[in-house]
Amino acid sequence: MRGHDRWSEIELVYREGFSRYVRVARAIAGDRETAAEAVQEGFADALRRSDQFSGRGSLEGWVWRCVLNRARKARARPPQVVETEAWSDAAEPDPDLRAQLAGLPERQRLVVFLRYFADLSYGDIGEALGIEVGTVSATLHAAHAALRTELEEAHA
Amino acid sequence: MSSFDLSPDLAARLDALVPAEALTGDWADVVRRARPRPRRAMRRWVKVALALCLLLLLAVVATAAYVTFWRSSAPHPGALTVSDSESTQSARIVEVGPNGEPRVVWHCPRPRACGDLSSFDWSSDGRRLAFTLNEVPPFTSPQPRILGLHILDLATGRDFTMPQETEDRLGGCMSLEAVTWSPDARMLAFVCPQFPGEFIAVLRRDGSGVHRINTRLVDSSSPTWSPNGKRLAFAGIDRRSAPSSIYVTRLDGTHRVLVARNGSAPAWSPDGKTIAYSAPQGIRLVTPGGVDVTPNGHPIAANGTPAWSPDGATLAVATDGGVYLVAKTGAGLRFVTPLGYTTRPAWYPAKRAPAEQQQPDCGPC
Repeated sequence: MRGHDRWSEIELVYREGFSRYVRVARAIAGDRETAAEAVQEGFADALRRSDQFSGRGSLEGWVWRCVLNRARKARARPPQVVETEAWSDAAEPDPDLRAQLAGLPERQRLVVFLRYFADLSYGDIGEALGIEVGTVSATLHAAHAALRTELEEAHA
Repeated sequence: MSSFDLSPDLAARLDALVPAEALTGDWADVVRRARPRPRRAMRRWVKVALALCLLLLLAVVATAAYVTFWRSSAPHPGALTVSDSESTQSARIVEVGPNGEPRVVWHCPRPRACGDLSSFDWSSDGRRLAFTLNEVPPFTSPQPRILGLHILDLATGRDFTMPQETEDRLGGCMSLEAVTWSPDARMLAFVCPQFPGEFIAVLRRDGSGVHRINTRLVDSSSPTWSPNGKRLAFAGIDRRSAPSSIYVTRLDGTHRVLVARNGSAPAWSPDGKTIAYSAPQGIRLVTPGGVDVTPNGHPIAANGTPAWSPDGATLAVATDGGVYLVAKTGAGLRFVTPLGYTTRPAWYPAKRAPAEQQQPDCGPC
């Protein structure tokens, strides 16, 4: 496939799923500005490396991997602006749940984000994280169990 | 409830944690970011330029080190040099001091790969060394052999090796022998032995223009250049089982003149007036016109391979017993070294040093 066609496909993915990408990136990186920046950079990475997409998996899953990498890098950096929303908000919603999510292993946390914030299929989650579908299923199962247990214990 | 599902309550809490929003992205901004950024590209070019500068610096330092090393071990102007392959089983050239003391001035960088140094010669500008390496049995070295005709630029260390295809164009050579520079250091002559017979070939110093000199004889060997570079003297055999004689010919093989019967290993004097050669009784002198001018009519040294000193006053003669020096008048014969008895000695040019005299590249020579 020619590069121009691939760019058109990526643009379609961008226009249809921008909100979901920002939502997941925000869950990872912490605030909307950083998340939006990570999404822009992630898609720019996807365009630059579009010739590296083998075509074996879904294009959307592959683009997700680019965006997740950018979001994780953005989280690793010190914040460049004072965070006023979401995770850093003074009136943070549901601190217990945030704490429990923060305590999950990273892969479990990402699987939860992709499943519930982006509504991705197990196949696309596997493509985005570079893992098998069976591993997605097992990881999600473990994350659910951990969240239920921790939250029940917190309310007990 | 399956363990793969979250309770509605927990799912709702999760959903509220990062609320879904209807956002619209800026695709043009993505495309702009995807294009190479000038600053990044420039940074990359700066890195490449710095790397190239570093490499260039290293090359200059390495060359300077090589030249310094070479100058420190170069033969003295006008010095006699001989092959020392016989005693070391390796390709080596030594300068013979006034009292016969040897000093290594060149050695094969990979001794076990070099084979036998069968001939060598210094260019008249002192900048290049030509030599031939040949395979000698037993072939025990596991290393790839670096055989053939080499032209080593002593200033840069660049070693040109005549390609196998060039030998193939000549019809194949069993070995390469008797390489010798033309007086202007632009061409070389060498001998290509075949079965049957051997012939002389010449080439430019850049490796081009190789061609055979058709002397119309059965065998032609031991070429030596006239001082003006327009003629060659050589040892030739006109029919099978006949002894070799000394001939002079133009480079195109025409105007062949017989100058001495029963002779081999000619050496043309720097003034062009005399050709020394090895006769059965010893070293004799003859003019290019064929007049014997051996002093007193007696050979001036035992038979061997003569080489004129740059001033034309002295001959070095490689014999089975080693190398002797003798004045062209026949006076002062003396033994100088037991080394170098299998190859023609070579005198390093007088009053010139490597890398100090550079000639322009060989054009249509």
